Amino acid sequence: MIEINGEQIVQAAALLGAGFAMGVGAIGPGVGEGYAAGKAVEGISKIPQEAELLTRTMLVGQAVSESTGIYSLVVALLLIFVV
Amino acid sequence: MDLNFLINLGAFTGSGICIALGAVGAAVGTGITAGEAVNSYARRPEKSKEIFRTMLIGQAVAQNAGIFALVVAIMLLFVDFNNGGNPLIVSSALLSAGICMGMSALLSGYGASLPATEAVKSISRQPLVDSRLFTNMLIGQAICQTPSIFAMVVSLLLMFLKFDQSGVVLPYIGALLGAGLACGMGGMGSSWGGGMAGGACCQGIGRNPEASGPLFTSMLIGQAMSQTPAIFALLISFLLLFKGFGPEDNNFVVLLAMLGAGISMGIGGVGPGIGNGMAAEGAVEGVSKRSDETSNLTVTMLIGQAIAQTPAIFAMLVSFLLIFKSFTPEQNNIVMMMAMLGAGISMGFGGIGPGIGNGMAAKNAALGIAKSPEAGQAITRVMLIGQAVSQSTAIYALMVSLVLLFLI
Repeated sequence: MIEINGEQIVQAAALLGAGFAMGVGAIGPGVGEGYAAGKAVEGISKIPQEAELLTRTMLVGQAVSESTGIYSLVVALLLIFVV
Repeated sequence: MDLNFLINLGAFTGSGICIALGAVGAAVGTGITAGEAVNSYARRPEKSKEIFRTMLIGQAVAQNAGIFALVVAIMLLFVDFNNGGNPLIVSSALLSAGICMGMSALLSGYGASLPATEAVKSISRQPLVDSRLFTNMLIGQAICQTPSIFAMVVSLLLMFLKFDQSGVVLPYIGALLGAGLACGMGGMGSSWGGGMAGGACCQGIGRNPEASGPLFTSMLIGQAMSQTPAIFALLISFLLLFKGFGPEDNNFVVLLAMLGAGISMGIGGVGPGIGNGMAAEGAVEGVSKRSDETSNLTVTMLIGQAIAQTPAIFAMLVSFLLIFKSFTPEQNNIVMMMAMLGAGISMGFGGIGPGIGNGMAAKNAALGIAKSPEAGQAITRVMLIGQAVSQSTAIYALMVSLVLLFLI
């Protein structure tokens, strides 16, 4: 059988945690940003001359929504490389 | 100790999971169909015969997935699976067969009832096209059924193939559980998405019967695209079923790598399947409003779906890498095991959000083009920008998976 010591258990848990952090953490931003994109194209179909403003607003909104995805990425990388 | 009790343990647990999950979707879906049929009676009592016929046959087809689940559950209860194989492997194969059929039937039953619901609604709106609606409903439902047929095939293979020829046990446990998860869950999104497209088509015929030709074509194209994740999942499932393992693979790292491959493709396929279905729903609805813009709408739908498909392709890639990765003896430790499982979980769950989000964007883009075709170019451009941003989280998940696969 394989030998297991405490340090290995900690590292193993950190790697599994990294997978969960990034995996589950990606759900929200993915859906949210898609929703924003959907509403932006809906707006453009109503007022095509405001396309630029709508695109800008969509991108700002998506950037904010992206932040939690980036937090997940940072936590996952911390768990992999630092812990 | 006699381990043969494990075979019954796996079979009975699998049987319970199979029928518990498999019964839910079909029951909810056909119930909604019946409710809408009653509403339609109230609106048009003189068409009650046609409404009743469409409801009953639609329900019967949607019930299919539930019947598959029942058949698998009963086989798991009453067939003697003691074929002389290792009880641990047989047990995990039977559990996996139950999970596979149950998961798949859950959304296959619900998805296939969506076209039936919209068809009975539309008969009361457009009584003259009831036979056209009936045909469309049946074809739409047949395509939503595909993933549950895949799952039935994989379940039967899991139940009746004999896997351990060489005394190797551990990798088979992971591979067989992974095969069931991949095929069962990977088809869930596809059947729901196919149902959305089929429902939108029946609704569109009720709104604009003259456009039934283009509606039918765009429904079929959209459904075919949303079926792709289920086909990817079937492929991964077959790879896991038929990959042979040697004595050097008989360790827990390979077990968890195979399980991770199943999780990655299974869960990673759900989002893109639903997203593709949303895109198809939007395009079909758009065609019902502006049938002269059909080609424009179909192209937008296909572009949107191609991008919504990306997380499923990432998930398949991670599954491939996990299946074909080779390990040195020093890597046989708990750290490597969790890294493999984590790689599967990261890409699997990470594919859900971007898949659904991209689909939402594509749906609204198609609806927008139907509303103002002259803004089509701007709409497609903004859809692509928005989808690219939404895709970024899937790329992060892929990156974390690759780091876990290759840098640990």
